[in-house]
Amino acid sequence: MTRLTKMGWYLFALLPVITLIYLSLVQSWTYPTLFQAEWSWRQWTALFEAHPSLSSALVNSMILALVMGSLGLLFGFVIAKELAFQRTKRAWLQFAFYPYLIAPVVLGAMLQYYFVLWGWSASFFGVMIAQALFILPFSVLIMSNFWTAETREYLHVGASLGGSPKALRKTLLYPLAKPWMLLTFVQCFLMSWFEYGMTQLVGIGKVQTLTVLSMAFLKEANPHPAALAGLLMILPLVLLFSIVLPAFKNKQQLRFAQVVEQKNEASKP
Amino acid sequence: MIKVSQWNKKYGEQEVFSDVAFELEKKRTLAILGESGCGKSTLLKTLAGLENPDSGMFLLEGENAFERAVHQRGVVYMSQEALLFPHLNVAENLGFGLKMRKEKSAEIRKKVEAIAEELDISEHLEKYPAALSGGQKQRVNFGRALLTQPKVLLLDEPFASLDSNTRKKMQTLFLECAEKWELTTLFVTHELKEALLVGNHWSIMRNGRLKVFENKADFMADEHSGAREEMHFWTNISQEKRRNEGL
Repeated sequence: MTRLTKMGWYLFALLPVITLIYLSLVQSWTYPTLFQAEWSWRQWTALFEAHPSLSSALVNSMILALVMGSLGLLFGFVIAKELAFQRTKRAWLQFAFYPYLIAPVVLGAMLQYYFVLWGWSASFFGVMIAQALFILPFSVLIMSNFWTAETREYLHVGASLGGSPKALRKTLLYPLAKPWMLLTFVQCFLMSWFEYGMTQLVGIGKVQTLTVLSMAFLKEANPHPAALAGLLMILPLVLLFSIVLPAFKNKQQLRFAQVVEQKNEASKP
Repeated sequence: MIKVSQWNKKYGEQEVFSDVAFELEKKRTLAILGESGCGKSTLLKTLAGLENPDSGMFLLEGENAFERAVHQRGVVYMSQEALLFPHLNVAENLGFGLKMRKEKSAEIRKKVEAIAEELDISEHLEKYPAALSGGQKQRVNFGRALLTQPKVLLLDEPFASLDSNTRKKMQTLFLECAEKWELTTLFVTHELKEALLVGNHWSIMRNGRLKVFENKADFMADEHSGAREEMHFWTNISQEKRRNEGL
């Protein structure tokens, strides 16, 4: 791949982000003029002033996503373990797909009646419960890939060699489960972070998250705060792909490289 | 000494084994011959405490083994697959049992190096399991079990997945180690020759029943040991060869 093609691909991939940055840094932009606009830091400096809803939406989204990520991790780990060696495992895992057979927003509409009845509608707690209803089953689906017969055999061997349940958790279980736990947390976090339909439906616009607010700005044909909200929304992804995953990947690659090197050495005459 | 009696296990309505009973003196090996699916593995797993029997008694050195948790029982189970922990290197795998006993790192390293020397795997100590051959993995698996100095070692067809040469070497290694480490073992196999080679007591497991023999001759005379067919086969081969040479 030539350098020019490579740069072209980078530009193509980054174009939406560049557009968001541009739109958040200009004002008075009028269609169809592409770049003729007044540059301004107003959206950014006004993040906590003119749009207090944006900062509170950021906090709401962050709390929801962190709670869903952590809850998903815990729920997925425990329930997948409980299901792993049950005869009814397959049926339960099929049941976990249920929220995806009907769209989350339809599920929300079906639940809305009860949520109004119980006073959960238009509340942060209600949104959390609604999101949990389709995020938690997904966490079980991911973690069930870890809880296999092989994992159980490893734990059996560890116990047989004298490992107490506590020691086995520390030395075997968590190190072996780490990649799956990380994946579950990230997936659940992102599902909550980007959720719109059900949050809007159950929150009735009163529980403001970044997605809800972005859509509201777009509906108002207000692209500049919408662009800023969009940028805030991709913030965790940027952090994830630029810091967390490379660190994890480097560690895995290092281990993989060691194994490959050892295999190569072993195959030398 | 171990003593097992009235040992029963069912999965739902399906009987896995029933009324299993045997005694085994210290430093002896009971070879258990049986076909796949006859309940051999489940028998070993229940003795190790990894699965629960429905009923029965298991005395280990005069004590009721049920009163001890799996990790305190001193009964080590070795499966057909080496099951080395993939995130630990060979040295860490070998020293796993000692680490669980909270022995000092320097002491563990010393013992690990000694057993690695004995099992001829010294040059692989820093390697990860994925970089080892099948035979090397089983050596590490064996060394890992030996270092815990188990009261009873349960071997569940440990060499079944190895090629015939490696298998022979491992059988010899087992015999050497069993003598040196004074092992008390239950060795499950479906190979008649292996059973004859490694055991000093013999039994056959069939349809969930364990039949223990007084001696090797009785074992070989049993119709289910396959010894008669084996001898008949080699006798025929030998006669055929002699006939051909005569011609």
